[in-house]
Amino acid sequence: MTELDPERLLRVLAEHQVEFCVIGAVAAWLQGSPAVTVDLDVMPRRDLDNADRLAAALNELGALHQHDEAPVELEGADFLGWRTQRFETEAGPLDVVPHAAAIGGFEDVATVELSLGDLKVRAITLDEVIASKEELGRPKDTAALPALYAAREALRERRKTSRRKTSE
Amino acid sequence: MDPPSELIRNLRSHAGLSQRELAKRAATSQPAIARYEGGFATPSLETLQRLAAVCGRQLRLSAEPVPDPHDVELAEELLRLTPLQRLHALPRFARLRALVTGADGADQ
Repeated sequence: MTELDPERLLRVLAEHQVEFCVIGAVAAWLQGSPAVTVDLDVMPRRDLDNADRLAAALNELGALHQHDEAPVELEGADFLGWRTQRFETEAGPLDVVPHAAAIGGFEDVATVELSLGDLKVRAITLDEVIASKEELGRPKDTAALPALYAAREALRERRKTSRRKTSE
Repeated sequence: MDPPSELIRNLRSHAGLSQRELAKRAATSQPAIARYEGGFATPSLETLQRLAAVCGRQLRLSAEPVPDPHDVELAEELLRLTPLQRLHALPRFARLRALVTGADGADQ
């Protein structure tokens, strides 16, 4: 498995103008959660044009579908079932999650914009990550919760401090 | 948890009200609001609900798990970094964890 290079994955998706948001552990990590991960989960908007752009981005990343032995040129139509698909790419593992049971799709989720240098990406809010993990309740979701609660606490304290400084 | 004093200050500030205006709307006195905000008196739950309501807010009580202080400390460290620095730190932390646990961390 290639080591995750999240910046390259996000940059290539952005360069291809894919409409997506980061979900899962990377979204939480970017908002302070101390639980690491080795793959990136993204939720694309579900429309054919976006699927075409997503396919082009994944082709640039040499994406190998988890069920394939060699990279196959992807097309937008490959995503039209809008099921979760896992890819190995030159920049590490990437899960494409068009819809998640607990949170819905791209249009449903609350997101926050994060500036990663010159790159701006949207990530699902920490509260959404927590709500989805609590609702799913599988052992791996429950195991992820303590780190998420810690990040929520740290974020609240940070906002409180920031508010105090502003009002002083 | 925010103390009632801070909660009332925040409610009033969001509603753009003076202590006197809040007191009038909630049928209490300005000195009472000042005592609550100064932490010199603690309002009852009913009073808090009334103050929230006149500020256009709904008071909700909930209980959350207490996070591990070490995790909070690490989260605070991460939040001192910029999002880009956090992004760059992720593979390094994942490598470190793999070394410590012998796991590859997939699907965490």
